[in-house]
Amino acid sequence: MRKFINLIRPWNTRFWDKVITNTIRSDESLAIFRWIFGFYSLILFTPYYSWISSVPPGLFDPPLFSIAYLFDSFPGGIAFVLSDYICLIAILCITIGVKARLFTVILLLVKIFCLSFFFSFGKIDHNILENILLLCMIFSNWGSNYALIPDKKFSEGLTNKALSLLAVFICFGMFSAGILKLVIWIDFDFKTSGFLTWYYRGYFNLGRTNFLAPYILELPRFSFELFDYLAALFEVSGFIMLLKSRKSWFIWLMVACFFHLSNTLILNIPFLEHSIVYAAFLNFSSKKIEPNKINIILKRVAFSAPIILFMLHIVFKLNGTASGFFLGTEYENQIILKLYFGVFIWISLILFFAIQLKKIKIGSLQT
Amino acid sequence: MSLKWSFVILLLLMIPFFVRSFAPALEPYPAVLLPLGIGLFNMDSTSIEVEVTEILGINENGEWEMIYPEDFLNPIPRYYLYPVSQNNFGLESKGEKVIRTAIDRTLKIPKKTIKEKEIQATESWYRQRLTKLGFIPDSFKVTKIRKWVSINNGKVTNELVADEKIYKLN
Repeated sequence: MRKFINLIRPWNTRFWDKVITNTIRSDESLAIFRWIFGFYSLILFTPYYSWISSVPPGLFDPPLFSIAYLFDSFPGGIAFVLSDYICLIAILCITIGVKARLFTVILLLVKIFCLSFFFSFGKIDHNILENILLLCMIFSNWGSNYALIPDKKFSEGLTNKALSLLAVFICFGMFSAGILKLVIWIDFDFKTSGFLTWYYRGYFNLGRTNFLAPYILELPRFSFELFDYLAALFEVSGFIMLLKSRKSWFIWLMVACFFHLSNTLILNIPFLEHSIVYAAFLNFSSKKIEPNKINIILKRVAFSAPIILFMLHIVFKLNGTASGFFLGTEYENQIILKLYFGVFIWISLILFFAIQLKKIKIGSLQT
Repeated sequence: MSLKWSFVILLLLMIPFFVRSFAPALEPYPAVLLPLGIGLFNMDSTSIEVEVTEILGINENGEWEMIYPEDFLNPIPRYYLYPVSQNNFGLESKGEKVIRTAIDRTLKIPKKTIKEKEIQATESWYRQRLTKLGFIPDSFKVTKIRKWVSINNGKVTNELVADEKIYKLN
């Protein structure tokens, strides 16, 4: 056993060294990313769970292996109402930097608790990476800069691991989705298509008929086989690209954005929750921000805007018209809105990654 | 990252992965898993078979009329209709459910028992919902319709009722 441990220890060290080198970001960049996460959470995806309390108890069918299974039924309505307020306060504190680490822990715990009940209708949604991002940021110094009450800084060694851990989780998540596709979809049989099962089920059963969806059948048949191979290979290639180099990791992230953009346009599945996770790897730190007039105004806006958004949420909540997406209310009315946001956000991210890739090429992206 | 922590992370990732690979219905939460969706479509087919779940209520004229799932289930998102229908809309109490595994066998797993009081509360919720939508709050019908859709023009070429169930609300 000891021999085996001694054998794999250098491999383990080399693995993490490589991942850290290829994913590392400065504390300053992560602090600016924290603001972006805050605006994303206050504008696009605000935790909203109080609706669960209005669902009848008969529909409580939690997964066998989940926190919710420990309960007999949905907790009382006050638990979810309270959770919504706690999440909102936590997001505000994370954004403006009031004990961001502590509130990241609180936000993560409350979200996981509530989502366990959210997924108690017999189906689990796969937006876990958003919460994995929070988990990883707990170990980072994202709350140590540009903050009202900054966090105590963790050692460089620990905080470097935060993004590397996130990268490993992303790659594994993609791998979990792609490995069986690789075995089943890459069959060199032009008479079968895995892509079309997603397409037809969505198109005829779920009304996913927007953007390019109506035109996709006009493509030549071999393209559907090609889609299968590209999707499966992309999903399982994360670890290889992560370990190869910093540049290849950025290329993979850019391809991931393109993959989601294609899914938005063809299958009408925007998977917007992943956008903020990929954005964590972008470099947001620039030259030292000088305290000139424009920057002072920007700083004031940056601190006041989250507070205004927070107040707006409180008003919506008190009026009983709050929701989890774009300050709206109804789930179904938001599908089209999500698709348009999807197109905009994925194209923007592709451009950002492309710009930063260019900088890696000329070696100016050292943080 | 120390070897010990690497091992812990590996276990946290791999255990849920193997559990889901063995039986997707056993997928734990939380777990770092993304959507599977590995079905294959035979492109020689001229049509695709889709199963549509429809909810019908009795209108003022005493006729069955379709209800939009999003209106009926609101605030539960529409895409939960299938799992909710598999759970008999929470109106029947069962202590276990049968799931399929990767080795092509079925497995009985425990399921939360719905108490009589909870069934009554659920029935009351559906009654209120039907009344609000302008239907008679005595019952609703769920039909599972198998449709064959032409892949050339998207038109339904054939359809049959695969299953039909009326839920009486006491």
